[in-house]
Amino acid sequence: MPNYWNQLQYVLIFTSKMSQRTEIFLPTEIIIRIVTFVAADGSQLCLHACCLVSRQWYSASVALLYAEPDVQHAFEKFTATVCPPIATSRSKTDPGLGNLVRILDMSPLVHHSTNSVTARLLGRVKENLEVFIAPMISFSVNSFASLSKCYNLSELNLSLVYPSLPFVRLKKAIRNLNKLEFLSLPRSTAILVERSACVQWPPRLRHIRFSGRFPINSMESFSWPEQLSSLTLVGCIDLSVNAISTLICSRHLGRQLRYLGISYDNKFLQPESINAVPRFLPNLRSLSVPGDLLQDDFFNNNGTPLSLEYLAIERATTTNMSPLGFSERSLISALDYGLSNLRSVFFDPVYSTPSYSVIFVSINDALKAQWKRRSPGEFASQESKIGTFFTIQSRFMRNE
Amino acid sequence: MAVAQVQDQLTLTSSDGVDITVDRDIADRSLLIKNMLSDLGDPGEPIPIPNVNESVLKKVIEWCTHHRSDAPSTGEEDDNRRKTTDIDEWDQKFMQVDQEMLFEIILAANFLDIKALLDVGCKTVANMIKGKSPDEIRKTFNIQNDFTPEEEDQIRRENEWAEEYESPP
Repeated sequence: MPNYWNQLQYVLIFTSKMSQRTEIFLPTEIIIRIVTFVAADGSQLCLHACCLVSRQWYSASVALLYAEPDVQHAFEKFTATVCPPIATSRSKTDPGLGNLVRILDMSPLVHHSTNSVTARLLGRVKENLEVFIAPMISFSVNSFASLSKCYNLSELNLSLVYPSLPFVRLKKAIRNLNKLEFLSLPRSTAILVERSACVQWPPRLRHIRFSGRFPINSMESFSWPEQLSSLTLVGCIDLSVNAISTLICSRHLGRQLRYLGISYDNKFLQPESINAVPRFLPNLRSLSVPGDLLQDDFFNNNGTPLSLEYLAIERATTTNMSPLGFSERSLISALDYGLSNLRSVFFDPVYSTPSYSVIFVSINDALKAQWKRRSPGEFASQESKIGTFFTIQSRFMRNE
Repeated sequence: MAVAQVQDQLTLTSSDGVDITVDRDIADRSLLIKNMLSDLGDPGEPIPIPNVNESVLKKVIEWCTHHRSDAPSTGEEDDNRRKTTDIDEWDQKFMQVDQEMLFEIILAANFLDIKALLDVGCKTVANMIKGKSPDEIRKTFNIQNDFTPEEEDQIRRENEWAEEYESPP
């Protein structure tokens, strides 16, 4: 029965042998713990040093050194190690260091890579890659074969990719990535509704950052991913009221979507584009929109209460109009009916100047008073989350 | 209830045979002891701590005494804490010991399963590593270089990319 005593006895024998050494031996699991703290400080140079201490320290450190490499200062050396050119003997000692890479951020690279180097690199890191941020140029259909085998990928960010990628082929490349949850499309995307319909989306895709152009006359029959709950529109060629209506009018989105973000960075946005949102997407919990396009009408024409709990006010689309299109009075009066579920309003930090402080404070007071009156219990437990806050849009989206 | 527990005491015997009596709630910072007592009940006699000598055990008890009223760790939630190498002031002072003692405390915390102390120890080592060359790390912690020159050279070449790195501002 006394397992502990057996264990203690074993340790006793073990340590009496150990104590003959002057060097105090730390088990590898403890060194991994130490090096994890070193890695947490983002110190790549330190991890590099840890790899060179001893064999034991190498085995504890090397995975952390390659997990999230900062490659922008020595990209050529990095590729020479991880994916040596086929000509130079793919030697017997190829350490397979690429298998250790989990996050590969190529966003700082411009002319460092080429289409074929990126494709080869992706092929070498595909085994355990979880996040890939593609470079601006030098990512092309060449990479699709490798990309389609990154089975552990959960986030694919192509938002910087400049050359156009055929949408249907991209969809084919990612359809079997069963862990993919986040997808950022390139700005050069051109949606083909019918031809893409027969290719499945990855099954767990739940967030899309949508960019580029789409056909207004057929977009309403576009098939969205089954699990999609979060959609950000940024860098779209046309988001006028007609265009955005065909984009978001799908019944599937109406049921499924919980978060919608509309960036200031879209073409032909108009206040009516924003006003159309609640009509099509009544189940949204969070909405992020540019401040100048959020106007009193948005708050006035709501009949039945919306599900909306979080509203984020992003920076304005232009500098020549008033950055906030609404008065705090119309927002506050909407709390009584259309926006009765609203808990928090997030302002982009650009609104953190004295000229907006009255708006900020009065909305904050109104929200708190409303919740205190309506459900004191919930207010007491959630008070720190009810009111107005400053936050950047991307963080707002991530928390969703 | 907490008051009643304070009366409760245990005796621990260090590897060099010294008995040290501690309050039960202090000993409970060690999950090893805590689980053992809840599984087997109070043995009614000194509990041998076979691989921790008196001076190390006293240090560990000093730490546990200072942290006796901390919330007990559940194991999962300290993931965030692990991401930073910040150490509170008292712990920093506590860890100002020679390298051997530092490693002994880490080993004792690992054996006795005192996760918060283990983390403080590992963070202290991590902070001492910062800015040091491999050779300086070896000297600081008395570690033998067991690479062959060829191995060392190959690792240096493979990881050369990591040297050209600008630390964040």
